[in-house]
Amino acid sequence: MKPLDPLLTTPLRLGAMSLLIKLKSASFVYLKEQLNATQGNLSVQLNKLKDADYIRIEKRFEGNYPLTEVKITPTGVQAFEAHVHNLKDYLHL
Amino acid sequence: MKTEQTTAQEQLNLIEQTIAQAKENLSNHSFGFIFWGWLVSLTALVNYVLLIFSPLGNSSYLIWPITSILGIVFIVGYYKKAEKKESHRTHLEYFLSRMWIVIGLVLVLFSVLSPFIDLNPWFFFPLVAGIGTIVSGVVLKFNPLIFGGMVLIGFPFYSVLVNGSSLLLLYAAVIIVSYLVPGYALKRYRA
Repeated sequence: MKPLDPLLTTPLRLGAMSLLIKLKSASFVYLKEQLNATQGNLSVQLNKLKDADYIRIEKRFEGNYPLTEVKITPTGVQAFEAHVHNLKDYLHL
Repeated sequence: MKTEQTTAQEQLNLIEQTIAQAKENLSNHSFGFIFWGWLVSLTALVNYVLLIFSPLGNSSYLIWPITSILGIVFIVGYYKKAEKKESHRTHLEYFLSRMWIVIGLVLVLFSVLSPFIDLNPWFFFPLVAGIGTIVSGVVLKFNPLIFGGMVLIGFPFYSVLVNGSSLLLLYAAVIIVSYLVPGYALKRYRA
């Protein structure tokens, strides 16, 4: 049995990945609302996912307002799928 | 949401809940069908009135390129504005928007080339739009759209039973069934 991916065992990071797997892209504000997280905590956790190349964070301006857009990467999709597979193995499902 | 470690079962539950939370909002897809439904059915009716009651004769068919260009300009502006406001986009939304852009371009290309090629617009337009409507219905799992698409695709075949200007009245009715009715049903749909 493979060990579980430590990056995906914390609820906030796993929640973010679960949302992003279903979405083409999401704004930082949308993730914050959906995951009921604080700005600082979400920012720290997303940066960890970004450092592992699981997600891509793009910052741009929409008119006068800054917009942070988050997308899952192919590496992130693979890691998420492997994690779900490992969880099922672990639970003998 | 917590940041500490959780058990495997808790993690699976969390994935399930979060994915369910991000499910498709079907009513977001209704605007295009409602907009084109009104525009095309009203254009067909106005074309019919002009053809029967005005001295314009066949020139009244020029109403189609005029309303189509106005429709395209409006819908491109509407979706550009909506895209700026959107906080997230699902894979389905992305797929459907790209599919309808391709269908729109094919229909524009056909309109431009139609004076030079021998292809009946009463065959080509409903067929291409009908395919898009059925695909939209299938991926959204929304049966009224699938039914509407089939009615549209069938138009070139059953419309041979109708003559002359009555074709415009039939087309208006078909657009109401295939675009407006499913469009409003989609708008009111709550999963």
